[in-house]
Amino acid sequence: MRLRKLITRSFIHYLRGNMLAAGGLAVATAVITGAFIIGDSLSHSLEKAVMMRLGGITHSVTAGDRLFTIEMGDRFEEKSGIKISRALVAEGMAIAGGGADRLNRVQVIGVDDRFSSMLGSGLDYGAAGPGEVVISANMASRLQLEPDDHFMLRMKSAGVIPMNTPLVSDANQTVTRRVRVVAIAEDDDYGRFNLRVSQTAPFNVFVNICWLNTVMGLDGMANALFLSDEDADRRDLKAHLKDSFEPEDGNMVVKYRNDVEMTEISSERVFIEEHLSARLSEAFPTANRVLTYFVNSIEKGDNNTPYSFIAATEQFGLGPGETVINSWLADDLGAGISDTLMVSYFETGPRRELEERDVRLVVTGIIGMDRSAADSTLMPFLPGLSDAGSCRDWDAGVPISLDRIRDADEDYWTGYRGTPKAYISLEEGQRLWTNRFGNLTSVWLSGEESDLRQVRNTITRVADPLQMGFQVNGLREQGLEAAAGGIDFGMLFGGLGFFVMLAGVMLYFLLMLFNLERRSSQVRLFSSLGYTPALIRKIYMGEGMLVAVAGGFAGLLLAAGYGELVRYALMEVWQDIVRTDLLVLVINPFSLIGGLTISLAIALLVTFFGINRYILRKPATNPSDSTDEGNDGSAIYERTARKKWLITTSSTGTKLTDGNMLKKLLAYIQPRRQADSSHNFTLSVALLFTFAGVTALLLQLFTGLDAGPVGFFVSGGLLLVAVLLLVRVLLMLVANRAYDRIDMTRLSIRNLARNSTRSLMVIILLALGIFVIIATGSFRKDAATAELHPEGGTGGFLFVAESTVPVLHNLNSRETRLDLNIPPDVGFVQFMASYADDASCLNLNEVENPRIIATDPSYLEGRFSFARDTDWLDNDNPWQSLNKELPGSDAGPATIRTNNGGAGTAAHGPAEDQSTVTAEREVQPSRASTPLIPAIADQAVIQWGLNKRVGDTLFYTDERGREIGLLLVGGLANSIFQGNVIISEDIFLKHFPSTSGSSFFLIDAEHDREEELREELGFIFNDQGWEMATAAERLNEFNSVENTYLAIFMMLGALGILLGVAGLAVVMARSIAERRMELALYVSLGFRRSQINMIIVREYLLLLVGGLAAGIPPAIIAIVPSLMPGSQQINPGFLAVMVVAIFLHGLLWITVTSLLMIRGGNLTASLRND
Amino acid sequence: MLLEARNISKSYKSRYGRTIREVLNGLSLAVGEGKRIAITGPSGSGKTTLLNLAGTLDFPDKGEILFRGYSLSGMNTAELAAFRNREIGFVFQSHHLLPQLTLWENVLIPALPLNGNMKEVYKRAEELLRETGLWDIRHQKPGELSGGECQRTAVVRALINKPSLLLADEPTGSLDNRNASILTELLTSLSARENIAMVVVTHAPGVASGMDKIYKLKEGRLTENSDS
Repeated sequence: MRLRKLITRSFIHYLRGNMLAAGGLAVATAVITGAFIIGDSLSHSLEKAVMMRLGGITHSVTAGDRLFTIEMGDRFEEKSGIKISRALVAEGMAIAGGGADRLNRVQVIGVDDRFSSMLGSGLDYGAAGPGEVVISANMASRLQLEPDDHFMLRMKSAGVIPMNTPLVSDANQTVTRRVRVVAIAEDDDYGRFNLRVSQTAPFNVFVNICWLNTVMGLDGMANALFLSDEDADRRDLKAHLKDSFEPEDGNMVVKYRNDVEMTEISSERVFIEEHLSARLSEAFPTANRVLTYFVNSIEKGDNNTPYSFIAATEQFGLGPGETVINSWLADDLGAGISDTLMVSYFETGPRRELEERDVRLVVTGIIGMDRSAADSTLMPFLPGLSDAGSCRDWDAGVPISLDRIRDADEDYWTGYRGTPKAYISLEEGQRLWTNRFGNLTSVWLSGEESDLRQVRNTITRVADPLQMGFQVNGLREQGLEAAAGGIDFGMLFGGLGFFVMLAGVMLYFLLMLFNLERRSSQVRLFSSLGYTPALIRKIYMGEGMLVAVAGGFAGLLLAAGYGELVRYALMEVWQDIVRTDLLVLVINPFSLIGGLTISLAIALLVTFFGINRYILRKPATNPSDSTDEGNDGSAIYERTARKKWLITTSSTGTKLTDGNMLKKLLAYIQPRRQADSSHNFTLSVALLFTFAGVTALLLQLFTGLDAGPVGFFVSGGLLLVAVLLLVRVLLMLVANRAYDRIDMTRLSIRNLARNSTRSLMVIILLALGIFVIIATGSFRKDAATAELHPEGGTGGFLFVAESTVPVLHNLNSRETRLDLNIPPDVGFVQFMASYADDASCLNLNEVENPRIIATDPSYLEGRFSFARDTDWLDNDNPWQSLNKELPGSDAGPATIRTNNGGAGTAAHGPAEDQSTVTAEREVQPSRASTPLIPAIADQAVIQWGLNKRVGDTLFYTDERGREIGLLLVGGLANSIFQGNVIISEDIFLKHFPSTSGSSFFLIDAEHDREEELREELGFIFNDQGWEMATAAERLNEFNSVENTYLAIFMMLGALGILLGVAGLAVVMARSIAERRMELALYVSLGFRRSQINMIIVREYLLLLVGGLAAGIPPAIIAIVPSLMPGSQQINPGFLAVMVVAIFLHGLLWITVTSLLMIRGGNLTASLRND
Repeated sequence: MLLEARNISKSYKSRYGRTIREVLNGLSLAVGEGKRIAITGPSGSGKTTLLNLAGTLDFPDKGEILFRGYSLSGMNTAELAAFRNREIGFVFQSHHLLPQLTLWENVLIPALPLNGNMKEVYKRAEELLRETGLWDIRHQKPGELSGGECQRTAVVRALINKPSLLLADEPTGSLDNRNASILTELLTSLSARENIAMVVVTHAPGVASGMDKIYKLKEGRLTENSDS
């Protein structure tokens, strides 16, 4: 017989007990490995999502809001040798069911015939004919559309002129067509094609690019190129882009004007952007640069000429305040040399606000109306003006009063069109009329027509597409990086399932201990046979290893099931977290090995501890079982060094918490026969934890120290540990006390104390479980009353809205309100937004550049609260900090402050007084010469979505291709701004000048008018693709993610408790089986079965109640913030139901187990001697 | 007559109902008030079975057991429990003291189901413990006592409710000679003083010799030992 055989035989002999223990370990293994599997599955699914949204497309070239020629794609393909597909992408809305079903933010993708093959799709998207569309499956499902069905497709107009360009009409913002569904694109057909980094499928409408061009009134234009070359280098692609670029791709018009015999460089966008103007000026230093503007009136005294063009040019060598007018104007006004003219014109604000301004000009010259002087070509092409037959047909971007238009004006228009009536110096003109869209309207070069080619080449050379909003994106690479950097669900579920894992390990420990204790007499036998303690340990460890392996492998099977269960739940129940239906279960062998290794290590550690602590150190047999003097007191393991350590530590602990009470208490619990210093030690540690927990609690309650809910959670946690340690002391105390009286309850308590480790384990399991459930429940977030206040997460706003088509006007202006019939008591905060990825908790991918939204910060003063801020944030006017000029890369150290996460702004709330310096660090050094812009974002997004901290900088590329740094100067407490970074509108427009209109809105109104306004505003903005929700709903949507995590945590916590209670039942059953002799004795002593049953039930009921009682008070400490007035109220009813349910569940198990165990078999057989 | 067993038979069956072994076969026994009887016999002869039947821990297949003329078979389990509690005292080969309780608490256990006046019980426990020399160590637990002390405690526990009948199953079986002798003396003296009838199953001649009658159990029946 070899040792191995002995171990195997023992394992088989005690198979039932061993398998029960293995079951506990299997649960722990399942949770650990399951977490790995879930992590792998999520990672794989996110990667899969990238492939499913991009197919074979690896890169894209986009142009922001600009359109370029389809031919640029051909040139690009030719230069790079990479297959490309051209697309015109627009946003739109779908209306079906006669208007009953609407879908906003639909992605309309006009594609060519190469798109499908590049994607790898079996559907030929490019083959869709005029008015025919292929829609994604999710859209078909949402609108209940099938092939051959029709619906209305309203699209945001794609044009070369930015919508908010001054002097350009804002009419026709959308184009609507009735379209027919020809096919439905499933996921396999890449129906979820998306350029954005997101696991969520967009609503897609695929159309033919030519048809889309026609619908948009364009000809051969695109705004995206798709490439398929995995190995393509972005730098090379940028170079190819530059090489492929022609002036028309930057919407420049270069033509030779035979009428004036000059080459004109102008822009289809009306104004030539400043940086391009500068390049052109450098390239053509002798060129005549012109800025022509439309003015409301030119007056001299009582004479007034309405609606004229004035050209700012270098042609006449004019100085500031000087003007040369044409003879028509001179006659009309009766003006002569040296007369002063008053010119009125509109300056256009970011939301098309028109502010009339005046300028005085002195006439220094009058020119004739001959061809060379009266040049109508100096008027830029302005749709609605240039193509108008008469003045009365004008459709300009400024209000035109037809009453002011005289016959003379009509005659002038008929004869001279938009020929400028006056000229000023370019310098003066640019001072007056430069706007964010540009500072020139044309550049004139003298020369021959044959020079045109040369001019074009020069323009191509100096114009950098990357500075005109063009971007080369490594879609696949960025997508995969974002997927890899996303939320680690492995860690997440490891954490969420921690309690179940703990329950499993404790169950394993308890059951192993049972097994080992049952066989403790064997230790004496082995010892008597000359086995060394090491050898005995080896035997038990060997058996423990077999149990661990059995449990581990069973756990792997369970892990796969657990993983599948979680996957199913994530898809069907916990959709709020993942928001995708792409999850697949991935079982990675390395994860299995990892999970198994961890659980084996835990199991062996626990077994080793159990053997050393409870088996080898115990007397070999029960002394009272010996035939003679009984207790020989022999223990294989003596408490030697550890005991000394305990005594020393205990003494220290006692000193730390010195006091007469403590001494009395220690003296009281001192065992009568044998002083056990571990009691003192445990009590000392318990008191230390109590002290720490109470101190932390008092500091938070009374001194203003505020660590938020986490601080209270920590206080509660410390007190929980203290309570559990005190329970241990109590059990020791009970075990060692001698009573002069006895009753049923004392008998039960005595029985509990008999095996204090088992009792304590059960109490710990239950206490931890109830603590986790109650404390977690308090973290649930709901947009409660407090959140509706201005300083709450909704900012006090009633609605949050987003529009597919930007709103160009100021919704707070009197004119717009009258025009749109907006109710008088409704206020708007309008935000411009950049095109970017969603960085809210709704996106599982790691997003580097969340959407920038911009507004006038003064609208937000006194709104929202700051969870964290820096030195850069002005405490008095935190939102005004967005207008601050930052010192750029020389930024010094910033102090990060933590504020009250509950309520109050940094300026007005309690946070003002409670700000505490918790960390100081250097602001992340920005890259050289990168301008820094102050920005504010939601703290949750900064921390979790971006993996950043307040004080860090987010780097973006602006519309001009320049890098800008958004320095996060403050972090908002839980707010509706999740997923966005907020900056000042003024700064935003400097960097993203062609952004037109607002697409994100906060709406202020009386809360009791919610339903009425929902309908009214929905109607007003119907055509904008208006999506509106109450701010509370939006906040709850974000909260739902966190709440879902909490729900999972609670659910798994409850599962852990169930496991704990089930474990309690198993322990109870084993314990009863072990105590059959005792129970038989009760029978022989005349106890009725019901009385015996009551003894058992009472014992375990005490454990159940003890566990709950130990867990509930610390949990209440942990939820103090939720109990404070005005806080997010927890639902006490829910928690009470939970506690009662756990109690009843435990009671059921206890009663049933007791009845079953006592009923079965003949108890008195144990007393049989023969 | 205190206890009367009439023609009792008892066999052990398998879980499928098949008789494995017939232990008692038409056995009869009568024990008068205050009488002391020893039952001897080889291992497996059914001594403990007989004791368990007498103590209502088990039930005969056939025959009847009467206690003071009343048949025990008509009692329900609650009545039987109360009967055992008041009228029967058990002493086993192993003391079966509860290790989690002190000696004092152990001897008080039989009083718990009574829900009666515990003062009297405490007084009696003190008397018995003093008498048996265990009073000074009453707050110790079984693990801290010797085997003899434990078994003496078991005797006190058996007598705490002043039973009419003491059933002792190899009470000295796990003791050395000295302790066995002390225990035998204790059992006989206490039963004589309190007029408690006693049925002792034993292999030990020293124990059996102190009894009024000695029966030998063989082949399921009792035969009176001619020496007694």
